[in-house]
Amino acid sequence: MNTAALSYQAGGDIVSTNANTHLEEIERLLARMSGSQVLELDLRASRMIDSVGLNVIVKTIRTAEGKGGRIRMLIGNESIKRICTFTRLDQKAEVVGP
Amino acid sequence: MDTHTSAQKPHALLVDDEKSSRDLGKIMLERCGCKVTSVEGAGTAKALIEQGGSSRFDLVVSDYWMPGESGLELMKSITQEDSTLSVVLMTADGEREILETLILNGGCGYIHKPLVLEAVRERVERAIERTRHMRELREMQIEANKVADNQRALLERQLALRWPDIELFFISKSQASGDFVSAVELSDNRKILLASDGSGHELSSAFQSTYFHGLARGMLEREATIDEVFAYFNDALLAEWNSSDASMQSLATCALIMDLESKTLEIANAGFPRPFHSNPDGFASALGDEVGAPPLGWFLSEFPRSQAPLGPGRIYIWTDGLSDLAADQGIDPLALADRLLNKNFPHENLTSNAGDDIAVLRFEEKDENSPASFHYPLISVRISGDQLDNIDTWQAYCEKSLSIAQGPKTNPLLSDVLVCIREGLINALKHGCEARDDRFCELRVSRSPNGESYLVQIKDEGEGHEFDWEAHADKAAEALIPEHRGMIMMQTIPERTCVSENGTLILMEFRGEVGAN
Repeated sequence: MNTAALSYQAGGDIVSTNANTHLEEIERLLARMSGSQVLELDLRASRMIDSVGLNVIVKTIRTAEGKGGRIRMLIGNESIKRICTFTRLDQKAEVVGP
Repeated sequence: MDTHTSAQKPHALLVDDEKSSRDLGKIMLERCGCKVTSVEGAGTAKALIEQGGSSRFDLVVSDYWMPGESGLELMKSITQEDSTLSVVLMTADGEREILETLILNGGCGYIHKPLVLEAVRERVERAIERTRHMRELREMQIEANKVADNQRALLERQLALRWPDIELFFISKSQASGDFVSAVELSDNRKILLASDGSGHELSSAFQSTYFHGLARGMLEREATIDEVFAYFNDALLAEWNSSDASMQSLATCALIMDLESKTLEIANAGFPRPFHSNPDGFASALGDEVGAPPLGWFLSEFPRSQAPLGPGRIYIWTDGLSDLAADQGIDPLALADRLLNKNFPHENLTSNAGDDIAVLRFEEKDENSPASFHYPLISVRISGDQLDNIDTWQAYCEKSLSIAQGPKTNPLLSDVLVCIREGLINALKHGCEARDDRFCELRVSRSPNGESYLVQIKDEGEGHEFDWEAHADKAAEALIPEHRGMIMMQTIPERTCVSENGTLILMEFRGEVGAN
C-alpha cells in the first residue's frame, strides 16, 4: 500500500540526457515537502540510472534531509539495487524492491 | 515425360462440357496451329495431366462455367501444380468480378464466347509464348541452382582441404554468389587467405570470382607475388571495361599473407572491408590502412601492403554484405559476425533482409604461451570527443550489439555492462577527449567462449589523472558528494576493474550466467 504523501514516478531511465527533466519534476514535489514527510521515488520503470541520474537522487536526498523529510525508492531491477548498494545510497534512503 | 520440341505443334488441352462448343473450340485451336486434346470436364483434364505430366501441354483452354468443378477451380489446381502452364478461360459473361478473380488467381487471359477466330488466335499465341518463357526461366533457375551447389561445394572443399580449422559463414542473395574464398599454402611456410567479392549478383559475378581464385591459386603456387596476381587481374578487367562489349565488372579482394616463421601478417586490400585481429582478451583492432586500393578493374593502381605482427588471437574477414547489414541494424559488425558464426543460433531472421551476399571467416592463431581459449570480440569502435551528446545512441548501439550476439537468451549482466560502458564513455569523451572532435576514445567489448563473462576496455587520448576512488567513495557516500560517482560505479559494479595509464585505460570484467555458446 502506498502511504507516501508525495510520490514521483519515473517513466523510464534516469540518465545524463534526461536528468534535468526528472530533477525539475522532483524539485516541484520537494518544494511542497514539509516536516517528516516521505517523498517516494518510484523507479520501477527505470532499467538504468547512470552517474548523472544518481546525482539527481543524491540531490533529492540532500534537499529532503534539509527539510527534515525522508526518501523512499521503489526499485524494479537488481542492477539498480546493486548500484544503490555499491554507492551506499541505501544507507541514506529507504530502498524497496525488487 | 512427354515434351515437344519447337518444331512440333503446340499442344492445347481443351476443356468444355458442351459438345458443340467443344467441337467448335477444337476447330478454332487447330486453325491456330495447335494439336488439340479435348475433354468434357475438369476431373478428366486433371487426370490426363496427372497421368502424362503437365509439360506435354503448352496451353489449357477451359470453359468458365461447367457442372461440378468450374474452370476457375481447374485453373487454380493446374497453377498450383505447374505455374508455367498457361490457362485461358472461355466465358460468355463479361462480369468484372470474374475477370478480377481470374487476374488475382494468376490466369493469363480469357476468351469471350461466342468464339471469334482472330481473338482466339491472339489470346492463344500469347498464352503459348508465356508457357515457353516460363519454362525457359525454370530451366535457367535449375541450372543456376546447380552452379550454386557446385560453387558452395568448391568453396567448402577448398577451405576444408587447406585450412580445416577455419570457420565460415556464407549465404548468397541469389543462387550463386560473387563472394568466394581460397586458402593457399606456400612452400616457404607462408599461408595466404584470399577473399573476394565480385560486383553484381548475376551468375557472371560468380564465374568471375571463381575464375579469379583459380587463376590466383595457380599463380601463387608458382611463386607469383600477390601484387602480380592483383595487377594481372586488374589489367584483365580493365581490358574488359575498355572493350566494346564491356561487362563492367569489378572485384573487391583482400589477401592476408601469414608468415608463420617470422610471425608477421601482410595485408593487401583492394576495395574490401578492413579485416580485424582480436587479442586473447577479445579486444579487436582493424588491420591494414584505413583506405586501401580500389577494387580490381577500376583504375591502373598500385597495391600497397601493410604489415602487422601475427600475435595469438583471432582474425576476422568479411565481405561488405556483412558491413552493410550491421550498419542497417545499427550494430557492430563484429557482434554480427559472432552471431552468424555461432552454429547454435538461427540466423534467418537476421539475414532475410540482407541486401547482398555475405561471407565471414574466422580463424585462430596460437603460440606456445597462448591461454587455452580466447575471448570473442563483439564491439570495436573509435568515437570522437564531440559525441558526448550522442551517448544514448552509442548506448543503444552497444545494447543491440550485445543482444544480437547473445542470441535469444536473456542476459542478466546487460544492465550492469551497459551502465558501466556509458559511464566509461562519458568519462573518456568529457574528461579524456575534452569533447574535442580531434580526440578519440576506443571502446572494445568481448565475451568469454562460454558466454559467462564480458570484458570491456575503454581508452582515451587524454592525459589522465591520478584518482583515489576508494577514499573518494567513502566521502561521497557519507557526505552525499555527487562528483566522480561514475568512477565509483565503474569500480564497484564489475567483478574486476583495472585502471592504468594514469586513468586513460580502463578494463572491466563482468561475470554471470549468459550462455552465449
